Amino acid sequence: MGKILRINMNDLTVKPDELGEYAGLGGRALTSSIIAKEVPPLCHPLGPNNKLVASPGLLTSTIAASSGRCHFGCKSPLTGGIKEGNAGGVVAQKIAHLGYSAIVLEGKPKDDKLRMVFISKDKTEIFPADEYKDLGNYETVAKLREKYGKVGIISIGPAGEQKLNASSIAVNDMDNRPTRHAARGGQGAVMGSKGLKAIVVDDTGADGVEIKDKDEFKKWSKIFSDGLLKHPVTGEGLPTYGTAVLINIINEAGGLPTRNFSNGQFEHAANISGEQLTERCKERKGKETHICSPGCVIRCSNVYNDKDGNYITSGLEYETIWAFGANCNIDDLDMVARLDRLCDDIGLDTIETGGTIAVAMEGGLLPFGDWDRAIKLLDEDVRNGTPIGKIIGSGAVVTGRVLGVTRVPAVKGQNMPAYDPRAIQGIGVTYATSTMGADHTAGYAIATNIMKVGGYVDPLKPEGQVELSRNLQIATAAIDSYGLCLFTAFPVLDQPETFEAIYRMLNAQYGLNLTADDITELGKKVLKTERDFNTRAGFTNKDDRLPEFMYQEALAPHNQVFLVKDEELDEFWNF
Amino acid sequence: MNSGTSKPLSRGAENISRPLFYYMKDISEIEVHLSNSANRELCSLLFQSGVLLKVQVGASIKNLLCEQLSLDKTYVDKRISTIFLNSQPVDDISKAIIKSSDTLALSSAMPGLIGATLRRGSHLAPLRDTITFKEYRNNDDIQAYGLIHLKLFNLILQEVGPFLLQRGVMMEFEDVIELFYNKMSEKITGALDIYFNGKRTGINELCKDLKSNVGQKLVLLKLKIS
Repeated sequence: MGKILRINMNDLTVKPDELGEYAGLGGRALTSSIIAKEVPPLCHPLGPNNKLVASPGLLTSTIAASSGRCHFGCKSPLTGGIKEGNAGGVVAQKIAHLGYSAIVLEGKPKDDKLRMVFISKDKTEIFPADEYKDLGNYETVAKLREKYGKVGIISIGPAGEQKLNASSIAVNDMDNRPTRHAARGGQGAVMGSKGLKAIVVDDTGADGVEIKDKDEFKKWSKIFSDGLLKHPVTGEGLPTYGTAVLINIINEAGGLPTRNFSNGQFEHAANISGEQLTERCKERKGKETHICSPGCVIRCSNVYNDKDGNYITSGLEYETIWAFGANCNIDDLDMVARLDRLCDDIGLDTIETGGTIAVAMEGGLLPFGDWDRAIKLLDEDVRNGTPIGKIIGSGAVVTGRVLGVTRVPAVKGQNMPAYDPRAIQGIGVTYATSTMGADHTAGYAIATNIMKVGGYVDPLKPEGQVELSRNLQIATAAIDSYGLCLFTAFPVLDQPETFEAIYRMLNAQYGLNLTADDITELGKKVLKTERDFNTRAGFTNKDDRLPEFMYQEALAPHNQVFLVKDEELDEFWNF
Repeated sequence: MNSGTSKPLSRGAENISRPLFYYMKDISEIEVHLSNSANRELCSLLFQSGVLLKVQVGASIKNLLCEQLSLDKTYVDKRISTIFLNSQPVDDISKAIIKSSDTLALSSAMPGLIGATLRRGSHLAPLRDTITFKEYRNNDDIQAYGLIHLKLFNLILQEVGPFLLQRGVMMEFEDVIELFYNKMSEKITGALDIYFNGKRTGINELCKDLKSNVGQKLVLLKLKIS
């Protein structure tokens, strides 16, 4: 296991540190443990006492398929609680390859200068980054790539520099574009508050990760990879259509939030569906299937071109298409793609930004469906930091307050993703209770009954939503600690040997004797650590609630309000 | 197609030449001749929004798919893993009965927590309990023919759509006009041969004929892969 590279932005010093009590942790388990132990919960998220942690998972930089996630953690300026978000791209493997389990950014510079960090096998340097000030992520990455060659790049755009709550952290992809983002919770603002524009990671000449039992690792990594490839979701559905394939399905289920969560079905869903996206990518010679990080066998990303065959954006995903599509009443994929590109370039979370524009549409700032004004809001106002741009860049809750909108679909300050909890009530339990605020990935891993976290849940019992959500969140927290893409959870759900392969690979790599129970225990520990931080930051069970209008306003077509009672939600943490 | 997943059609079904609507008389018929690649795009346009089928109502979804539409039982069980009846996810297709005017949507396995939740018989079904289809009946009660609205998504669209379209689906004439005028790309219209009631025609003439034929709200649309 590696070391922690501590970068102090207060005195601009760098210090490799032993893992110490964090040994055995990676990914989300490590980011959340460091934040919970080292960051005062009541500190200002943009002040000197907050830290930003970047960590590859425990399996990252091995031959384990789809294990290249880079996890970022801090106290969130959007929610005020603990935050973990992760991204694909090429940087996680390079960090792990250099022998680091985490990079920790600490302190705050005494001046307002912009800086960048260069990390290689032999040295870590901090130096001025004035020439990159106000640049979008695309231009920043292109310049850094030209200067440093084949490197991993973590960067922020103008939104992060402005320390906006909806700002993201970008990671360059296999094509050296800044399209992979740890987007949720405003982590870009924390990086911006530390005066850091970019971290360049060059792993040339690095020793790589040690594998204790190479043959055993190879055997189980093949079982894991085969499991992903033979499963109909990861082996076929996702590579064929990407995540956008969900548009039609969630719409059919009546759970596709439309026009700021005022309807569960979007009448033009077919125009923005995954099927339509795939046809468009083929017709315009983009890529309907694409790899977001080295070693990914799922290939759910895509490359979207304009009608003349020129690149617009990459990784046009379900949540983004929903956020700017159905939720803003925009049924033109070209416009959605342009909005996605702007978010990647400015460094904004597409879910929060799409949700915010929908709130602004409801508040009368622009009409629903006005893509032209939406594009201008991002490209002119947010990018350049106009007053209205700063409001939009601060997220849905702030924008709702400014515009007097009461229907703001947020929990703990974070806008909901693309599933209406009045149609699919179980996701509402996760939105309400997640330590991260409204987050669909918090309970995304679905290995519950195989992992038997918290016992087997009877599928015929309708009252199992809280229990299921708890199990899902425990399983997710564990999978997030290994650097695995959450989509690996589908074969893990259906194929016991694929799940077994995860801890068998860990055992082979580190010489451990982990069992399924250890993985479950890790997930529980991560959740409790995060919950404890949030409690010390002032959160109570009253924050584990959905917004008021979802209890009062029935959603078509099922005409349901959110029905899970407060006392049931409070049962969540009884484990 | 993944190993272990069968072909979409039951044995011999590919040789069935009779239309699905052989029992319908006096309905105008549009036959479009298209290449295989353009046919894929046409199916995508048609089946995502849905087409009309005249089927024996009172039958279970399983009966409809396996008997009336001649889909292979293993394919239905393994491949069509997500099914909605009137926007409600269905778990047991042998006990979910189709009524006239129902909307049936078919999909393969979907990603994500919610994708898994919506699957037939998912152990995560409690998460969507309030919208789950529950009006199950033990026996089919096959009645007369009725119109249903059928939507196909993702892999099912690709695999079943062309077969159904070759046998013929019904559409309201306004939707046909919308399809030909506004939705079809140049790729399709450029490769298209159209026959209206057996007579070769063009898009403008077809739409004109449809508009003037006010007595018939529905038309039969068939595909011939050239």
